[in-house]
Amino acid sequence: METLGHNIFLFVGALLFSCGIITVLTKKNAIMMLIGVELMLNAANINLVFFSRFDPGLQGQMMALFIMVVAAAEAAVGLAIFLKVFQHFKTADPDMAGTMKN
Amino acid sequence: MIPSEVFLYIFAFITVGFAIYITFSKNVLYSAFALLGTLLGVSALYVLAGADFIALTQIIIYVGGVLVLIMFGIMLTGKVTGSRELISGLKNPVLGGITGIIIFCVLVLAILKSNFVALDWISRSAETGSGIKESTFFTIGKNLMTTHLLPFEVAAILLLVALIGAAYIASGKVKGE
Repeated sequence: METLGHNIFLFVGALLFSCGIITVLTKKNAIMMLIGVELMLNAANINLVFFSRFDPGLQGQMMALFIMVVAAAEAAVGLAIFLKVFQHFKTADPDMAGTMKN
Repeated sequence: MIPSEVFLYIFAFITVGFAIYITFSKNVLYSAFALLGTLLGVSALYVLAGADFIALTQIIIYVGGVLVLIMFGIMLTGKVTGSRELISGLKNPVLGGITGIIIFCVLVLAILKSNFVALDWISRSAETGSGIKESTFFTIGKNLMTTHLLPFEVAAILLLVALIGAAYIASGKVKGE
């Protein structure tokens, strides 16, 4: 089938996921980690949308839509928490913000 | 006429290039701008996969919302930490890099080994020639109002909760301070 020859979607998804996971694991800045999480979510969305092209019911695209909504909520709450942590600990490195109380 | 495959490879190259730049860049602000390129490239890939509504939503939500939020975060934390340029250091780069490369190899192996055409619904779609032929707006709108009504409402409540929670956490005084 000719449309499955477009496997490049899957490879792009795999590479985006790997880039995201490397970014999350190796960066010290919390905002870089958030960017990595966004990359991984986009990789998952690429796979969902690619396979949804064979499905007239568009289940995969619906799932991608809800993933986007959750990602937006996650980014908003995550950044709010990060800002509070930055103000308290005066550092952007999550490793330095180790204590829960005082 | 240029075949769509050329565009597919161009946009895939743009997406992957910016993603790799994010991985190796140390400057947080440049990474956020590279994320803009990646998100736009992914949105172009959605168009080429026949998902026009998702592509528009990607631009509106990610580029218009999440990326602006991340920019705000970078500007505000730059003020807090007091440094002019936000440089992100590395922690355990070797272990993290090896983990990422292993995951990439496993994913590529899985993609190369698997035979997606053997899947039930994909072969059925290949036989009948069904699949995305026209705009997806009508189908998505119908789905959202009928079969996916409950997730739609739950997503609405989730967004409301996230908005209130983010505003409360970021602005309000925490008790005991």
